[in-house]
Amino acid sequence: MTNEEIRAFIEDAIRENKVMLFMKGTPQQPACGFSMRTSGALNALGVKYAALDILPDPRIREELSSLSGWPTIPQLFVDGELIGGCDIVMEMFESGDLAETLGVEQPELEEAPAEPEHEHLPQRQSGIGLENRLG
Amino acid sequence: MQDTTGGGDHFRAEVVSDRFEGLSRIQQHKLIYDVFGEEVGAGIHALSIKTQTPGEGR
Repeated sequence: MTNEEIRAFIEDAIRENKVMLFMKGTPQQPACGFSMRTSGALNALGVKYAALDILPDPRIREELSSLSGWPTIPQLFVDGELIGGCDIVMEMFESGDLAETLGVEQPELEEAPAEPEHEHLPQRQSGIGLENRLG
Repeated sequence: MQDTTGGGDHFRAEVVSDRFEGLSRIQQHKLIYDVFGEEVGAGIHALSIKTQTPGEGR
């Protein structure tokens, strides 16, 4: 693939996908914490999005950054426009602006931590049905 | 400006400036990236940015 072909591929991806995320790794297997948080925000909003792993060829990142003017990964595009990287996306996610931009409803974040309290307790899966309750 | 891992390659920058007035977040962050230039992506692996105008201060 030539650089021109890579650039054209990136431009097509941005144009053809309403929500387009360039990231390190995949949403299923992010290769960087910033990419993980950004795809995690999109997952939390339940929107459909396309994601492209930039790692397989360094030229993907070079071409992407030269056409967006944004030096870091991830980069989120909505309707063909750069929304931001991880910091901006997370700020917008927390303020509800991201949900608004994407035309979805903001999940009720306050409820999430309060509800599954018991999940944080260590679960014994030893197979022994004895409770170690002293006294 | 904070070195978040101590390794000299992950940084957090919190910048308050009246130059951000009237700019989008994208434009604000690009101003910060411009300061570091080629370092971002090369020597600096990760730069976490928070920008505010004086009016937005907590």
